Amino acid sequence: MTPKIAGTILLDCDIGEIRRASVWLLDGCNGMDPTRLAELELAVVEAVTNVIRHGNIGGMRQAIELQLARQENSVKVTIKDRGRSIPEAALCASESVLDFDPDDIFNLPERGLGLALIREAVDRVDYQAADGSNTLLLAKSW
Amino acid sequence: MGLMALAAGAPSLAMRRAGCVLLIPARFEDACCRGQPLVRQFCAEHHREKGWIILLREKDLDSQTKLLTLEMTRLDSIGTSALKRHAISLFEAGQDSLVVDLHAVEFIDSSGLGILISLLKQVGTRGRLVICNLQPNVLNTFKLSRMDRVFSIQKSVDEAFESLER
Repeated sequence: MTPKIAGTILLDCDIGEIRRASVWLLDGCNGMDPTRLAELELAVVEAVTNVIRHGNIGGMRQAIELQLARQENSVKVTIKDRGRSIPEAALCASESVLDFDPDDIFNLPERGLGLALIREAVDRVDYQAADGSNTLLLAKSW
Repeated sequence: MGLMALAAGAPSLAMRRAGCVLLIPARFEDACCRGQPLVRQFCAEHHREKGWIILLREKDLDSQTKLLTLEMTRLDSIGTSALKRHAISLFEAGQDSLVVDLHAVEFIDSSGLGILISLLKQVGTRGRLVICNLQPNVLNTFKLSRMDRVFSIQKSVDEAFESLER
């Protein structure tokens, strides 16, 4: 089945916009299992927060485009921006940041949890950075 | 003017006695939220008492233990820095143990988790931090992040307080 584009939204590069992203996502995924939808919302909020906090280049407030595509049993959210790419080191670190010792309180991670949570919250994550544009695809079964 | 810039405004003595310690004056809501309709929506979600929007309530459970009840529905990147500053100031003032009631919180992300982790480190070996009343989606985020293995999580304030006495 060809994915059906359910909606697109343009966000300003402003931290207040994460709430607008949530409302837009919840509207577009009406009928999805609530727990799975909450996990997808978490991944989208983390991704948009990352772009706003770390992707801004020289203070330029680049717009962020979110696109929602629904299939029969899954939903895909594509997040595009033209800010700074996610560093390779951060992508690698996100694979192990949750491998902490729960008894070693003083070495618990306070930062860098966002990318790791995205990985945990959705079924598939694809990231591409090319020609000054970044595309993050998040897929979650319905 | 930023939302949190006003959060440290001084509430009335009566409001402080009622345990409302982290507030935004509702009359400044428009100024706080100008150009940010979703921040305005965030403010509108919160309770109003005598013109104040309450983000946090505070109550002593005993001489060593304080209960912090969060009244915010979302613990994310918006509006949490004042909460962190306030909670850390409690420990700096000699507070031993905290019970954090998350009953109103419907959504938490890594920023919210980061604040709780930061508080846990502040408590260190001196006292204890217990969280309670987690809604299912919030508990799920603790599990996804594996923080359910780190925090003491209880079902209610009473159970949280009892767990401190064990």
